[in-house]
Amino acid sequence: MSNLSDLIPAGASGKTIEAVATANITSKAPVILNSAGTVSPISETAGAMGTSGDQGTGTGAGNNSGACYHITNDSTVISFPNKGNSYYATVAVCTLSGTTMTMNTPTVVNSTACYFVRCAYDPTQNCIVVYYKYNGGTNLGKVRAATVNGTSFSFGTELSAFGGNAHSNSPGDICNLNDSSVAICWGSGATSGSGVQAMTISGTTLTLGTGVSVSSNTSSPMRMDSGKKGELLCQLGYTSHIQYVACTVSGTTVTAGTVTEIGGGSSLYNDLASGFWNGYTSPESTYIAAYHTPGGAAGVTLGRLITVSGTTLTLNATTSLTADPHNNPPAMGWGSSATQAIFYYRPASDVSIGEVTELNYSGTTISEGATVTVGTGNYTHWGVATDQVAKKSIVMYQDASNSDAAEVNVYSPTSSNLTATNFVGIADAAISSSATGTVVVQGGTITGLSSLTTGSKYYVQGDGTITTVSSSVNAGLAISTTSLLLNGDS
Amino acid sequence: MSKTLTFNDTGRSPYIFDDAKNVTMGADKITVGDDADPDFYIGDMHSGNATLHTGVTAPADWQGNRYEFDGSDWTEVADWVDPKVAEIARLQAQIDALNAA
Repeated sequence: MSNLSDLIPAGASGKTIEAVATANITSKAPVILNSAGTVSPISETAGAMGTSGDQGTGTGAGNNSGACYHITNDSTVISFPNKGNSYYATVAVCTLSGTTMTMNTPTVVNSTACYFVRCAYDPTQNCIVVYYKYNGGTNLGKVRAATVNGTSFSFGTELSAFGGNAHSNSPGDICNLNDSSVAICWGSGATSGSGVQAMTISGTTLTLGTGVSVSSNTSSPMRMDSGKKGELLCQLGYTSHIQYVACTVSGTTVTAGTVTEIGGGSSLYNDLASGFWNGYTSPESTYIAAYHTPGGAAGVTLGRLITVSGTTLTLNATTSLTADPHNNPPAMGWGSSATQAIFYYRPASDVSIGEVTELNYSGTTISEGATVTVGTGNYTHWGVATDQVAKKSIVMYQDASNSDAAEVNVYSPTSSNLTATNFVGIADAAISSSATGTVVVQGGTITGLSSLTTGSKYYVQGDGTITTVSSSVNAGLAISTTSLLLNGDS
Repeated sequence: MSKTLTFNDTGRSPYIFDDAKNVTMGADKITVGDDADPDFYIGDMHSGNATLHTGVTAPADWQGNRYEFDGSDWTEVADWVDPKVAEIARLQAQIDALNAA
């Protein structure tokens, strides 16, 4: 005999179990094992937006906004220049019930028109830090910590960022950094190029370190995230370049690595995210980035996994995305697993709507999941946080279809009952609900499939299909075009 | 007639309300609107650093922080910049840079 499959008798070959199905299972479908010993078909729930909440048009989203998840309160704080109130820096507590968001009474942080208002939550001090920049006048950047009690804020003393240097109107960012510390960045101004500043927190008292220039070039917007305690990855887009810089921080001392410039040409609509401070501490130092191809046509965007070691970064292979942010800065938060980011943007292909796309990675490769419409006119001034209890993405935005009201909503990522450990095998024949049937398991061979590529590895997908696309669940090896040896995770 | 809130140290007027609007001066914040269902809170003004003036007539071109008010007279702030003008200037600078690239 010349083929391994010739050795296998027709039908299931040994290595089977008999189990009761909890629902109808089609022939040759992969199944999961339940704790009761029953088996179920693999099913997927599509990603979907929830029901939004707002405070009326007197609370409007204007300019760059932010959001952070407050772990202790199980709520999300949004921060934004309130277009309905002279663009004053404003925060509000938002709560999630099921898939419905509620925005509570907003609080003005600073009664000055602001260009951006971003925020971060420090779990050690159990407080938020708000970073905002005046729009005109002195152009100062300010930081202020606050505790959150229910829906109320209690503020500490406001301090000037970056030594009181004026900020130009390039959006900055804030992110977690270490226990009791956060970092801020901003892309231009009175110091040299793009800067990062770390600060420690005690109660609501901030102690700022010295701002450090991480690139001699300006950037707008400048974004960053932290994938490990004491680590930052900065993303510097601009009209002439896009750059990345990894930094380490000890106390409030920032050490910047070498600037990596991906290419010349305009690259403005970008963001990056890590799951580390969103409840996914493994793997560390791993970031998903999405950026406009430098100098490329509107909306041409690449996804890329970036890993960091110390101040050295590794740019992995790019993936061309169908997500096509344009006209307004997009925003990225984390999703419902250690390997999923959630990307919000105004698409070049339809500038009248906002979209959200799931970006997943396996190994070092980015792939796109579902894309869902956020809403007509819902496409700018994003603020994104991850609800770590519900495993959902919370997003605020300007609702242009409602007089630019600030609105908050929830995105429930695509979910499946398949996990990395519950795949048990493939049904040899159809099994009716409550009936007992045969499931081929680890070491067995399932026959009667079609169009397999002999010698290829096959994986179980969250929607119950078996394909060669890598996933966290290995099904096995095709030993013919119709037979699969289950030598994977069943 | 209107009411305005001003900072005690500068006289800067960031808020104008109708006289009928309820404004409650608290020790740590100011509540605007009905106490049971406020419109918003002001977290950087309170009874210790701000004054509520009632029965005032604001300049027709009043904008937040554009004027100072001393209880009787309004004075335009010399270095006040219209945020919209600042934003237009920023966008124009970005357009110029893109055109030059």
